[in-house]
Amino acid sequence: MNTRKSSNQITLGLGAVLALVGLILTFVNQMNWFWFMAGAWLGLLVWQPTHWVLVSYSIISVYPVLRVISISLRPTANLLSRSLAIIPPNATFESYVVLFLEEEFLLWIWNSFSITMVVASVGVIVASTGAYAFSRWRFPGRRPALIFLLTTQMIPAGMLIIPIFVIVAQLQLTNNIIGLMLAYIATAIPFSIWILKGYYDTIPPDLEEAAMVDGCNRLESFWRIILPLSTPALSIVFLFNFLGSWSEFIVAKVILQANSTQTWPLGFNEMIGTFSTDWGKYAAGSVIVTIPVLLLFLWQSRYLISGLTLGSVKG
Amino acid sequence: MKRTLVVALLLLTVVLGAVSSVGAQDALPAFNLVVWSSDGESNDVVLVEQFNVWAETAAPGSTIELVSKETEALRNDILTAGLAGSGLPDLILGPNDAIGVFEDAGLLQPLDELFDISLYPFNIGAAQVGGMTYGVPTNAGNHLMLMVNTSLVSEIPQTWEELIATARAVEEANPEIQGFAYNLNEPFWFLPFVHGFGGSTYAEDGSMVLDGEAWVSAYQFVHDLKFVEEVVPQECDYACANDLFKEGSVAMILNGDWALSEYLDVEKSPALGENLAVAAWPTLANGAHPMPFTAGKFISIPTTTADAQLAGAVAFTTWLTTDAAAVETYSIGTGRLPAITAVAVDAMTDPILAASNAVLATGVGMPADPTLRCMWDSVRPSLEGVMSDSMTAEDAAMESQIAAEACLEG
Amino acid sequence: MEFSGLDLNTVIQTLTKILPILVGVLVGSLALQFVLYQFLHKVVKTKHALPYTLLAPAAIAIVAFLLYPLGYNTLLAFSELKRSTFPCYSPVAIGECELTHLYGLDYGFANFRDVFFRVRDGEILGWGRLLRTADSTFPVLLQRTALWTGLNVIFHFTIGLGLALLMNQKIRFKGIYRSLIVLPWAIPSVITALTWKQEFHAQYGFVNVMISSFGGQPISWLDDPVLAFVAVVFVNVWLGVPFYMVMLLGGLQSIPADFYEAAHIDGANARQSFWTITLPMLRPIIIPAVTLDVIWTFNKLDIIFIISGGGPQEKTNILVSALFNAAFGPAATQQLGFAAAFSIVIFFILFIFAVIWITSSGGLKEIYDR
Repeated sequence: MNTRKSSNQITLGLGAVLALVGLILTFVNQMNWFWFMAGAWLGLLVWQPTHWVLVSYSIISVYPVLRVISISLRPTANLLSRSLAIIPPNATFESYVVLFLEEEFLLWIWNSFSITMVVASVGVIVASTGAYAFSRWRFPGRRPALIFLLTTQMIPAGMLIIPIFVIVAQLQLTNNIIGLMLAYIATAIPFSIWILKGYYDTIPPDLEEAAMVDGCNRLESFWRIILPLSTPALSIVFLFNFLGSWSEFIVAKVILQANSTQTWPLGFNEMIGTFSTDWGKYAAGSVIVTIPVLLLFLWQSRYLISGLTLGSVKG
Repeated sequence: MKRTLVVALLLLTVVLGAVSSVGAQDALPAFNLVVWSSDGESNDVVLVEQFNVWAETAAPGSTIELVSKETEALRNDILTAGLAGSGLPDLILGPNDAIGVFEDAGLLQPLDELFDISLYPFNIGAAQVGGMTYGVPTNAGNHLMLMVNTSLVSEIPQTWEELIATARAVEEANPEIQGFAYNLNEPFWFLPFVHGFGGSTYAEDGSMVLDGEAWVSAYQFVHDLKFVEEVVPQECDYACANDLFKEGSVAMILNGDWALSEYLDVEKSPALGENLAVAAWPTLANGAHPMPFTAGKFISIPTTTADAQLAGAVAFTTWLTTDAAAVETYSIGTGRLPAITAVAVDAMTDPILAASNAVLATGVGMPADPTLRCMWDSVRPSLEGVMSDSMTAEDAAMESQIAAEACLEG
Repeated sequence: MEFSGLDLNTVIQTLTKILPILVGVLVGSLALQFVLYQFLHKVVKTKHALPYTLLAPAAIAIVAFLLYPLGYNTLLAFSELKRSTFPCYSPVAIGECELTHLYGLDYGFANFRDVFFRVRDGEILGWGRLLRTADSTFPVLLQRTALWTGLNVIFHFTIGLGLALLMNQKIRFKGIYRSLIVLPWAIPSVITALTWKQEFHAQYGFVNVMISSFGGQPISWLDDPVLAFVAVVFVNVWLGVPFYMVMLLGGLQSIPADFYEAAHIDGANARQSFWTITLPMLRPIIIPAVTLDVIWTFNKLDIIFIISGGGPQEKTNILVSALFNAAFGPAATQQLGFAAAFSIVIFFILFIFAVIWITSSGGLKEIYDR
């Protein structure tokens, strides 16, 4: 025990020394704080390797997000600059205000939101019954159908764009958010069924049998017992479908042409067009559209782990 | 005496009546016009304003729906809509090479019957394919010029040596500012150099030749600008040159007439406004100016436009391109040169327009030939190779020729 | 009353469009299922009436919006649709149609052959150029796609596993770490791709600012073919690690601690218990995760498209980005029949590979025996 404690103290000491060296180098190099950060970072490596890895990786994960935030706060005069400061000097919310006033940002958000909610809801509705069928019954065509569902994941982008456009155009649904909804729903269903089936597989059939002994038929036992139990998986499927449709760009670009039906990816694409790039507005918009996604994600995160794995781990 | 008076009054009434009925044309019924444009947002805003001005008297109650698209997106979306058979706009405003592509796909109406083509002698040829006209020019130009921030540069360079020296002087005086920049890897900015060295895309017999001496010299020249003279940034695309110029971090750039309206607006370009000057490309060692491609922006009409939309579209376009006030506001007001009176603009007092016109006069007309696409797409990878110092000029020219031949076959 | 493009009218309009759909789908699928069930149960008298009924709504949606477009795409591959033959296929294009037939095996044969070879006068000259440069031939693209997929999956897995192992210990701040590490997955990839593209900029990107801060020479990442490839792989790895970490962490947490204790008692050290306990127990998670990841990475278009556009000099293209560039990019020639054939070829390559992978790893049983 003594050696452990003293080795801890040694590493702590070493780490502190490295940080100090960094501090000195900072003063030597005209207050270039990079040297201090480098020193502190190496110090952490020596002192707590596990935390060092996690901290380092967290920084790598987070840094681009911080950059976007910092660009959104820059006064619009200096959007292209070499400064790495997270909160820029003269930080202002100007870009956010300008975004709402000069662009139809709310309209884009509204369009995206409506499409995504419908797609996610319909996806859950349609997939929940389908996945249950795959889970609980062995019927002719089950195996090929499951393989088919997996196969649909392999369809490359570009394979469906023109056909979907032609079909949607023939249905006179171009420029209509309903056309886009149909396209998204179709591609969302296979993955949703996949996830839900995995989840249903982990619920023992005894539950339904017990219910049926009590007098329910199969459908009722599904409705009253299984569905409520599957709320975690259902909400994960909702989350996935939401994520998938919220930021989708390529198919939306093909189907939605008019300004009145643009989703936010299309709106952003227009904002950063070749002719005039307003990075401040773009960054402000990025921050705003990420917030709902982040919230949903964090709220779902406990379900996320259990939901994805429960389908795969044998009890 | 009385009788003469009465007759005179009658005649007067008749004449007045005739005149007023001629003056007040029948207003068109209200219609909705859908326009897809790749002219740039700041120019499109003016177009919408002009439409509303026109519609007030000519077609009251009409509305316009203008969608601004990137050049590539415009091309792809028109073709996809054409394939589906629905969703095409009523008017397309874009460059003339798109016209060649759309005509090849059979998606444009010939305009010879709908417009008086003789009114646009200057560059109507750029929109003609197979003897038929498919576009009406809203302006003449679309040409690249040297643009200078006069608060940073006092004397506009006349030769490339002077430009290099000027750029270096600016950078020495202001360490934070770049002397010169332009869209480095984009073929449209590269072709003027080829023309300056005496080369061209097509040979006399019409075949595409991209590996002549002029091409090699041009590749070498732009390569040296970056790696030997080091007068351009390590990495610069359109956004880089445009944004930095607007905010005053770059003293000189090469850009086109479509950007002038934004540069002249102090709100959008804080560093420019009055400090903008436009000039011809500096001369090369052989004494020639690099010559930019010239064409203009054209309005074309898809095959699906008919009835009220067609009548309205034709009327509006005619007005926009021929009415003096409209031309003043839309073409000249956005910093471009009108197609109608382009040649007669020598006497223009505005220095910017006069300079632009001078460059226009020395440019090379850009054909609407769809095979031109093969040249652009073959030159691009070669240019990228040269500008990243991973390809020699000779190899670049050779590769682009091979690629172009493969493109023309397929 | 309009603010930022939105006013009450628009909201109401959209709602009036959407709510009927939602209600319609719900009611419609219930009604459909009811009718279908009666039909299958009473008329056809199959004992599988119930599962088929439950599957019906999903099946209909899939047939209508996946199978039908796939079928149309296949049809296009057997057509001669290109810019100059638009008048034959489009109802609105004007011009003479000189084709004798619109769809045919001969067109299909020519399109598929053009994906691979370049032919003149019936003679095969060599590999066909799918875009403009010599780097856009089929074997080169296939190689690069394999390299792209392999590198990404390996890094995803190793980094994800490493992080998951670290997170599985008793340490403080776990919640914070998890939230931060999951971030790349949560943020829309359009935004992250564009942001990273800026970060690799020669003068203003974070990477080069750091390098020059330490006195180095800034690098033009996106100008050099190899470095540009490194950049896009880096970004895709950055994006994909959270998925693995989450999956593997969940799996690790469900391995009972007794297993490790028993192994410890038997004298196994950390490395041995890792290979004999951890990895085998994680297998049911690793296989589906890797399968999905291979499929997604193979088809990942947006990262390459946004960051490098397939360049410079078309040297960072993988199969799907080359397809997209050929069909919709600046160098597009609107040879849509050819593009359709190309997309089918890509699909089959992935399909064959997936079949080999799944059967050899025993994943097939995972799929239908559970």
